[in-house]
Amino acid sequence: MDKFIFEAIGTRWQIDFNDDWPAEKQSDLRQQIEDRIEIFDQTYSRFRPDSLVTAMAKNQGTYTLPADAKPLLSLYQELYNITEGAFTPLIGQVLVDAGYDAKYRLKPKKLRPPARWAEVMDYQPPQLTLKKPVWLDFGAAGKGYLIDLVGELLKQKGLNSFCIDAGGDILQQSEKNRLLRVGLEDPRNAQRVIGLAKITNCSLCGSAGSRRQWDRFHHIIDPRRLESPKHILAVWVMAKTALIADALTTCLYFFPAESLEPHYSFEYLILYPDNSIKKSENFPAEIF
Amino acid sequence: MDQNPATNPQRKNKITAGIVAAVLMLALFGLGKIMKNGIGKPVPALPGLNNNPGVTQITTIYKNGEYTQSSGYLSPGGTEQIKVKLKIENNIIVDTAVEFKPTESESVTFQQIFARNYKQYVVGKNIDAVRLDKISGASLTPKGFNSALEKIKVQAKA
Repeated sequence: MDKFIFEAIGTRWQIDFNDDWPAEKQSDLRQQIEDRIEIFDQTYSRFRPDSLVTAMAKNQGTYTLPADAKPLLSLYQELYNITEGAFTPLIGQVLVDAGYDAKYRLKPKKLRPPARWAEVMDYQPPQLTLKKPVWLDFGAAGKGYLIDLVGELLKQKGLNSFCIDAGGDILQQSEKNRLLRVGLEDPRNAQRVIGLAKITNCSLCGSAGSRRQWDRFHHIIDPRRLESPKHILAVWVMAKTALIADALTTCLYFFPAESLEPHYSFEYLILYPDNSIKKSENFPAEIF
Repeated sequence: MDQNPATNPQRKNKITAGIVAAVLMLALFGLGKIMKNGIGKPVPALPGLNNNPGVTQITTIYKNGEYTQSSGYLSPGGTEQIKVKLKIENNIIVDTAVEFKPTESESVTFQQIFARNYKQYVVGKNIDAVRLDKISGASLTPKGFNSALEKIKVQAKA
């Protein structure tokens, strides 16, 4: 078993894989992975001055998006419609106003509700037209999608069994259907787990408001209430792709699972502040 | 009228409520017995009511251990048996289990639904106590975020 460990997009990555490749071929692969992540970051990061997203916050106009944008943007648009605007990339402006910006000011200004999609944006792939400059944020699904893209890269190189872990968001593929044992971290005590999920050939993503907290906020803000949800401590979602799993973890903070289930195939677990849980029938975990 | 129990939510709810009541009675009965043994005055001992054990002071009221009670309840198909186990550590219910000995096939369905749904509180385990390949939860915080937060804390103290 070989592994790459590195830091990117503000989190720790670990990629485990089996191969019998010489060192040189391995280091080529590692370089390609890091390059792929860099290209993604240069497009979608709100935290760097040279990104496409930062350009969009400065100038309106029609932007031709890179080839990888369609699955991500289409999912955002779909979820925007299903959740009636609760899941929106336009939360970017709200996060910036709350202080979660490129300079990490962390000093909230007065918040205003995000603009409606149709008011400011028109998406006709591959073009996105902005009627005015806006801060878009792809934080709710971007990391998941990037994990999938790195997974695609590994498959292109002939690696079909691997595990990609980006700060606890995981995509595992195993030709032998090996079960991966994933502890569900207790958001109040990182030395404890509240359950053990066993997954194979799918993604498991988790989200908790416990680490990135400032003022009265954490990294998820409800666009309708303009506050960070406090009624949920943590959410985990299992799905075929990390894109879906990652996006739905955020969705479940604002929107009932029952209304998402007709649209997507996923399993979930929600942990509430009184230690009670709600989970879908086939969420593959033993709960402690 | 549709008599399929799966599509008859009213009846399903009634029976589930019946089982819930039976379990609650058993649990209360069990705790009552512990009280009678002269251990002391009860406090709510469900996990989750005391999320911050380091702050709240509790004197030991329940003896650590496993408690088991059996009882019958009346279903539309006759009397059914249920057995409830509670495990108590440091005044907290850390595990529960129910066992059924169904006599009627329809009861099996309802009892399975109940057994799947009743255990809705988590307690947690130490990481060392479980064999894990990975951990999933709150993502690691970006360094920039942490250092900004530290600066703000220093400013706030100044």
